[in-house]
Amino acid sequence: MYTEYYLVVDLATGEAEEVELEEEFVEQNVGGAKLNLALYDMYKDEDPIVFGSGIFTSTMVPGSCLGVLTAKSPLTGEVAHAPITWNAGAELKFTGYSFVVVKNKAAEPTYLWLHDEIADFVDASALWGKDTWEATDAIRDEQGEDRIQLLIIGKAGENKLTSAQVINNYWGDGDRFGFGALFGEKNLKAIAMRGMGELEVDDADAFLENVEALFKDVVAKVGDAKGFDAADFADIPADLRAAADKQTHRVEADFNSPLPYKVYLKYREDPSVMDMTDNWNPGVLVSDPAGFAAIGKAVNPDAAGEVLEKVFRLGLNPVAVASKLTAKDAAGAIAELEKLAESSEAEKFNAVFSPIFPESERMEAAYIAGICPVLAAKVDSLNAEKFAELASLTTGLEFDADAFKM
Amino acid sequence: MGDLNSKNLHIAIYIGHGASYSWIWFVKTFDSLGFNEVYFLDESDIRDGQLDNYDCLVVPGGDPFLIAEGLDEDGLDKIRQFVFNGGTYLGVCAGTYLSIIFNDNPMPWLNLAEIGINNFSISPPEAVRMKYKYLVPYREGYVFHPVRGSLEVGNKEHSFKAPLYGGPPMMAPAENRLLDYVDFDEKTLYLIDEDTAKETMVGNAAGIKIPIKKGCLYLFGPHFEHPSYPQANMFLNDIFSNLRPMTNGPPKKSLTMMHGDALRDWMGVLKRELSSARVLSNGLMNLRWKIGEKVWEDEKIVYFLNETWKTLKNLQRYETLPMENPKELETNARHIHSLLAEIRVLSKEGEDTNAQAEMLIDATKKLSKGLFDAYFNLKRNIWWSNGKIS
Repeated sequence: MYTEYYLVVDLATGEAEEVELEEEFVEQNVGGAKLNLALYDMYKDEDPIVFGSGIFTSTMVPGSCLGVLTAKSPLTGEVAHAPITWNAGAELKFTGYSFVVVKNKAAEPTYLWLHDEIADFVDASALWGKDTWEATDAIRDEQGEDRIQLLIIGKAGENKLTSAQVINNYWGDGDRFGFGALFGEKNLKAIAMRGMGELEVDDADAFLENVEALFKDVVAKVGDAKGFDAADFADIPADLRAAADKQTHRVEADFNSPLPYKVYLKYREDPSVMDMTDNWNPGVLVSDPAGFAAIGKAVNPDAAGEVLEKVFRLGLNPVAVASKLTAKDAAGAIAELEKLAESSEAEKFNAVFSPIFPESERMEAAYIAGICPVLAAKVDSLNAEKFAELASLTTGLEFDADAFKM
Repeated sequence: MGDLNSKNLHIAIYIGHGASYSWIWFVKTFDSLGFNEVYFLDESDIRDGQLDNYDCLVVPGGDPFLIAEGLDEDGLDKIRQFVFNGGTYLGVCAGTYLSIIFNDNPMPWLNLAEIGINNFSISPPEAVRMKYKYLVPYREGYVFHPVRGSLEVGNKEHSFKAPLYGGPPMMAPAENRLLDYVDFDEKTLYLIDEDTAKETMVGNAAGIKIPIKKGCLYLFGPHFEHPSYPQANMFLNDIFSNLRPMTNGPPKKSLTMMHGDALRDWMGVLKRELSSARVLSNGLMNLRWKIGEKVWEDEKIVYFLNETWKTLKNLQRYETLPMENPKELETNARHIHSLLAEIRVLSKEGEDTNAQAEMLIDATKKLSKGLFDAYFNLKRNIWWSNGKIS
């Protein structure tokens, strides 16, 4: 269920070392946030950021999208785990590295390009200063694939603001810990990933049989929930919801998840038009419903999508910056955001800390297993006992439910 | 698995001008069937007279016009002499068309036997799908392809499934017939009206054997070498198991034994370049190229590169690799990467990329050949030193 190696990247020397992911280490630490933490401890003297996958990430287990960023939060001073949804966690494993430890600091702006067991350090000087959307497009164009997955920072991260967020391609995600500032501190513009690797399963037939049954159960429990109705953990006011409904174009789900809780809003063209048009930036994906709610409470509801787009482009944490906005209109709020992102180190403000996903007794297990926490919070069969059963089946090792606790 | 002796057959696979990627299927199938003496020839190798070192020549799918052009009359005659002197010629699809006379005014190809085909017409039926690739002009008419994909072939003893990608339904005498087209199945893709397709195909020969002087032709429409069709592979195995080695194989070449840091560095370069090429090829947006009379879709490049990648990964397991020209493979890998980058840029600007695609196919073949050579060199060395494959 894991690749043979994890990768240790030293930005200071430009060297990348493959280290064998030993069975005993997996047996002790399972994966996701738990294994990330063990790696963090191993390299903690070198200021590491660990990006890792769960034991089921990129497999056929429902909701197997999750990657986890683990590092010391510049905001709280504590080691924290940020959930990374969508496709980045799965793509990491397909690159041939289930975990990557990024340590020390690059002398010049750099992005890390991981592909098929290859780690390249690429000069990012020309990308420094670009917003996350421009930089994502530029990296994809440079490497020649639009499906490259990126963890990337904007101006806020470059300026090392504690309100900076690591952005997932174009969209905000689970970093509420100022990890964007850590990327900036390391001169790391992005981690770019594309892989076509394969995973081995110990008992493939039994695994498939189990997963098929689990998927049916999960689909039945998810039911018709979609869009903002599925994102009920976010406190979205009625007027914001009404405005967003008018702009809703489509809903999307994370990798291998039947729960489409992400909503794409179009405000630069008719949202009822489904065909692609010449307008490449017609709106924004509300990938972080709680962040959208925070922005929507701060500005006019009709302007929330456009303001959220600017938050993502600058690589800011929407919950952190919402309370700093005074303008209600889009243009005014966007101008304020640009000013915030340009703040100097001395002027940085203390961002508000807030977890992105709802607390849940299954959250911990999901962070270790590599399962989308939104889905795990909704479906009780995605629990530590089930994960232990599946993990034992697929690895040939013995896991119990306690293994899926930190 | 047949007589062990037959496993020592010296088999040459033609991968030169005009051969498509399907020769890789032969490599994989021969490998799984336990044939170790597998080699690769291009048009200049054949013109140079190298065929004399082999028992069998496999001419795979591709474009017979381009294959004939590459070989020219000199190369074609070398193949004829090879068969007359006792060699076995195995043609699939393009390799079959290349070898037979099916028109009163045949193209100047091998023309080793007069065998009619039932998919030649001056007024071919209309296409119902894939209009861009169902028809190939030939003299006053057209060779048309009624169906693609899986279908059923058989004889009085047995029947099995095999895939067809343009090979002919042959109107051969009973004594030459090994297999007929029996029926279509649920995966058959109709390129023309179903009834007309059946009339064209069913009951005609899918595989024939024609002894010529001291040698023999085995000519197939379907790709019995396709690795996803094990029964078809066993049919091939039965044929090869009944052949006996007559030659000593090619002369031993000077090999560089790569190991240690040099091997690791070399492997790193190849992996980096090939991975980048794979990423780029996956990012191409439904491109098609017409090279000769054959239409290449970009997904074929993806397949080609993925198979090359698998070979490289397989070789990565070994501590020592016997390589013919490792530097040339490095150059090839870099060339493939840069060609794909160029194709991406040009195609986004709406420019024609046929010339680059042709170079890309050629470079990819050369890289694949080099890696497969290393693999079979290794396999033969391990086999002969240990008596078994590890």
